[in-house]
Amino acid sequence: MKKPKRHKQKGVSFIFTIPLYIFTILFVAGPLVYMFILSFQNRAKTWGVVNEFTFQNYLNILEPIYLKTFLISIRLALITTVLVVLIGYPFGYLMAKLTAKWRTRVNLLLMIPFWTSSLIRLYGWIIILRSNGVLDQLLMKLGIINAPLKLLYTYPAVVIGMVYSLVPFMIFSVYSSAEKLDWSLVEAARDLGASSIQAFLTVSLKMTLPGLLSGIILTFIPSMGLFFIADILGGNKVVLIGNVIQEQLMKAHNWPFAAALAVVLTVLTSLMIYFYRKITKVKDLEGLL
Amino acid sequence: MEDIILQLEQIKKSFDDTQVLDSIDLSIKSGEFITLLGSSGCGKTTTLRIIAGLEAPDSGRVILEGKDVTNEVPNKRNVNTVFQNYALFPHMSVESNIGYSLRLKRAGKSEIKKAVTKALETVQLTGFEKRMPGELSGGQRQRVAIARAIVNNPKVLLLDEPLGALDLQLRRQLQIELKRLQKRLGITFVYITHDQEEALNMSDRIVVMHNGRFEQIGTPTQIYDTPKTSYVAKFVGSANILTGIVKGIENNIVYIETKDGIATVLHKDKPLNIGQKATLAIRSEQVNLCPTDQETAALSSETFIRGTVKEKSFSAGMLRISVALSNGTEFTASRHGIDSNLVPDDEVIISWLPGDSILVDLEAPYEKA
Amino acid sequence: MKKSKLPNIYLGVILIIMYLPILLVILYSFNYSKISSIWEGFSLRWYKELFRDKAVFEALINSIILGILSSLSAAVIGTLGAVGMFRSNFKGKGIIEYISTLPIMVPEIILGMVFLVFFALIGLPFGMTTLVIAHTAFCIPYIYMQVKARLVGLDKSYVEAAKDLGAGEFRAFFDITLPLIRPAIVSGIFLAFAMSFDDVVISIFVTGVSTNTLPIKIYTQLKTGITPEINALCTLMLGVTILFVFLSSWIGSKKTVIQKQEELS
Repeated sequence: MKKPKRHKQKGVSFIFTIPLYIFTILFVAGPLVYMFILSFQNRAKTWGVVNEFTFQNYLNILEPIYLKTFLISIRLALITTVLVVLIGYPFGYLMAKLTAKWRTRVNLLLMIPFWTSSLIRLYGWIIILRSNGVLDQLLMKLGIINAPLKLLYTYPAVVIGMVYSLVPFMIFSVYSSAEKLDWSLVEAARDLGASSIQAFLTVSLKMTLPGLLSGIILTFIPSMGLFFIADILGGNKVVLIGNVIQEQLMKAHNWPFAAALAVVLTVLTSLMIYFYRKITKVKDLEGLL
Repeated sequence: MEDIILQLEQIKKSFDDTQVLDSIDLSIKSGEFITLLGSSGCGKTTTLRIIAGLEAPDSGRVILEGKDVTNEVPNKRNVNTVFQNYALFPHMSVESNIGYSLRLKRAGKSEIKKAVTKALETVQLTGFEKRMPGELSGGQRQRVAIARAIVNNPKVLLLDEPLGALDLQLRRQLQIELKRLQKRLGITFVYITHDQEEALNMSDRIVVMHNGRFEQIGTPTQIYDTPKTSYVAKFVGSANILTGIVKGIENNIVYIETKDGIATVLHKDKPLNIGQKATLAIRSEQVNLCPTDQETAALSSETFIRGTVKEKSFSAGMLRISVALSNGTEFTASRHGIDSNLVPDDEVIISWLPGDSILVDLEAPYEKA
Repeated sequence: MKKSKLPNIYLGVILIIMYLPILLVILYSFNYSKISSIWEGFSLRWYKELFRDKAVFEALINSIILGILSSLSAAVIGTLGAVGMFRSNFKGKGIIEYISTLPIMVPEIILGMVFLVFFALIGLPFGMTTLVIAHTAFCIPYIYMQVKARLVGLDKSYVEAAKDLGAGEFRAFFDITLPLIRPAIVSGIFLAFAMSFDDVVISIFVTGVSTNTLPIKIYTQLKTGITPEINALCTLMLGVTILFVFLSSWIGSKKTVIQKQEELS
């Protein structure tokens, strides 16, 4: 069936997508594909790459030192996520229970730290945690300790920094889920004989699960990549995969190896997203925004 | 012969696997008010959208003023639509909304202003130019939607259940206004509704649609007094339908045999054979009921059918009694008044005069006109 | 049942902990002493030094320009893309959509690395050019998703009415669709600008030797030697942030045209 004029109309819509199409292929797909190819190449003596095909980079990853780094990164991400859930979930949940007036206020109060540069907030922690910094001085004045804690440049400091940076995402995620909760369902459960805890577990938890799960994803994945927190608060003591990649790229100039590390990291995160989608059957990430 | 302004030829349309329109043929005369009447899902909105150009038919042609516009996009046809939810552009004022089509044609500023003022006058909303759609009531928005559609002087105006969202009072008032407007402007109106009262009040012709086909096309009188199919009879005026076997024809009266008795109906021009299945329709106002213990000698030409009273109810100023026949068919009789001696489970005789009933389903269900 | 104060206490404590670092940064920006642990009295000394610091000023300008260029490019590409995708149905549609939203799902370190090696491969000059391209890439998803969500909720009869009245695809887009999705575009631009302005990781990788953005400058200072000048800078940035937050919440509370109309029907 000839439909010349209608085709022209559909053509206009297609034209609109062309900038996106081109940009995506050129600057998103292209680089990712190149990274993959790069990981199979070999580093030249001083600069650049040699066009050979090799698995060596991936084999190097299997060396204990790098495997250990992967494990440390995953472990840190896990600890961070658990803490973020413990702190952020109750906050988001309780926030949703406030009256409308207070909800707007708390929302506004959360916005300011959220929009403040993460570097500024981390700097604040440096002030608190450094030797003879605020925390030390406070504890010493209270007589709890005698000598500075030397908290800065330690693993706990990095954890604090990660949790602090990522908690807002969890809060907003849980809040947007909990806000839509129909409280009359909880009341109905109580009315039918459930205790507070039972009502929570059977009703509230189930209904805020989407928010919780997307918050977990929003925490776990970035925490694999926020190497600058480890850099600032952990110094050279805490080395994550991100740090290694940066080092390999900028200092050792071993791009293929860095690419291989990045590929492995990408695969790991993709697997996690895949399982997350399977569990929640969520097709779009629009809810995350 | 009057001017035919719009023709639909053998229009077929399917969505996914459902056939929504099945070979539609229609000729619409210039200046007439024609209504597509049917319940939801019958295909009336799809028909309208095909005329407007918002959908393309799978096969068939749309001919406007002699020109084949089947594949033309909506912005090139001289047809305008009043949408069901009005679709007034929320970010534009009333005068911007109305003037939009003229701005697209790059008409001059003063020309646009004149046309907009005239259009607002026509729908009795003078002075509303600067208002925003969000500030208007339902009835006002509907009028702006009409003004916006007529300012173009379209040859055909399509109205998709424009009064559906309004309350009864407003609906009745606007029905009268719309009819007057149409007569005054002389534009051909193609109107969609599921409300039979509306259709009967406003239209020059009605097209009753069912399952993607035209059941009957005719004037309101034709549709009401002489329905051609049982669907039309039931949909317009709520008739009772009865099917049986032709037993005999005498003096132009057809005697139809059913398990519960004999029904009579006047013979129409189509030939009938003894033993053939026949269906008739009779309006509830014309059904008589009398208790069996008061059997009087009925005229032999009157219908005589036994049934059992099921329910009595009062609705819209009439007393309605529903009677069940042995095969489960329900007959409804209605009359003025609030009560009668009949109670549920009473045995009754249903009767009527043959001139009050009518044979239906005599030809193929869909019409060409 | 008496309402427990516990929830409110918890919320309050967490909020205080959240603000603590920020407040300290502000506090010490007024500290006369160079060493933050010793308080030597109130002073605006560091603010004065800040205004004299050309390097910081340059970095600030760079960040602002970068943010504007990236968010606007992303707005054009993302909005047109979202509208076009919404109305068409070609074979690669799902894949393109998925890939274009990858930048916000992939850890930043990977993005940074990927852009670095790719730009080196095709020989682009490292500096503002590469920064804008990289930032645009991760800004697009923010705008794309917001616009798409808005389009999905938009009644399609508006565009149909426009066509019915004589508008072609282009005009229907400009006169009807665009104004109605404007809120989504604007909030997307704000979000994208903020993400670009705050970006550290990706910027570090794709910037040139001579181009500094504000976050990079702060980051390097935090690693090398901290002067309270940074505190002053941070405090000022904070002021801008607070202003922004209040502004956007004020704008957000003014109801949009459609909301009003929907409420009335």
